[in-house]
Amino acid sequence: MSDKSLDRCEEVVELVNEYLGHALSAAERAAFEAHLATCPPCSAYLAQMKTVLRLAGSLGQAAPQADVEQQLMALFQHWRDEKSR
Amino acid sequence: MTRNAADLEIVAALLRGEHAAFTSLVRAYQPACLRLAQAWVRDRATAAEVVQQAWLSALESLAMFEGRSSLRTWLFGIVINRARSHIRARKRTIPLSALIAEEAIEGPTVEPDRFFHDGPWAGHWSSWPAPFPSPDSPLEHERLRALLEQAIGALPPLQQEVLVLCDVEGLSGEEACNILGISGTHQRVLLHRARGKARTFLEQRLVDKAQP
Repeated sequence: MSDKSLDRCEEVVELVNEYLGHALSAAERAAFEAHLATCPPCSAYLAQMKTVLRLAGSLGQAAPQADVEQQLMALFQHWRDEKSR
Repeated sequence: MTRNAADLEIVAALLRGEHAAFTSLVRAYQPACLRLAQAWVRDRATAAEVVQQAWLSALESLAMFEGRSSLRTWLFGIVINRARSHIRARKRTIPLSALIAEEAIEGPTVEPDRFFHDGPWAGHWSSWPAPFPSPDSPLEHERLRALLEQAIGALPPLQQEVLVLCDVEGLSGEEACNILGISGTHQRVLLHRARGKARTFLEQRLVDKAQP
């Protein structure tokens, strides 16, 4: 992307991930934010993407099911017993 | 303590046979391992078996762990290799390069018909994205999480794995590349496409498209 103003929304949406990942240059970031300041639908698109990322991050906090944990502990015990033979 | 030193300490504890060390690993990584396996092995029960085999492989090769990658990265790599091997044993082999060619295609993230094609508003939204419900209330959060689980499950394997590694587990792009054996460029394209599809999946189920 060249350092110029960003007018077209269809170009802006392709830069959202780079924007969120802080991968845009200072000039690109300024152009992106200037577009957002005057474009409600692109702001809504960015908010949707932020919600997706926030939800994805929360999926990583799940705990394993108790029965699965028990099975894996039995596996560990078996491995331990075999190793000590 | 650095992550590397902490990992080596966990490995030493496992080799001494300490249950607590294994419990903490299982609690931290089993859900992610299952997600990663399910990218290839869609049946949950079979994926759980594959993960169990991966845990055993990890334990059996623990003495060879040198700490060159993090324990998490090392474990996720074993799970993914196991899951790919499981599929290879049952289906025609699809080389990784072919999968990348199929999944990492450059293309518009949003359907082109959402934008005006000509006139003074060419390239601008013709059908606006409407806000998603806020995930702040516990009930809404659960509904949205369940929808995102479905969205992730509907992604093709490599896109699914990149999204799980980077956005669910919080790994860096470089770590994801090392685990999956792909380039940084492909990782970025796969993540871009995966996020775009997940957003579209949620939008189609949550909101009516607002008109300008």
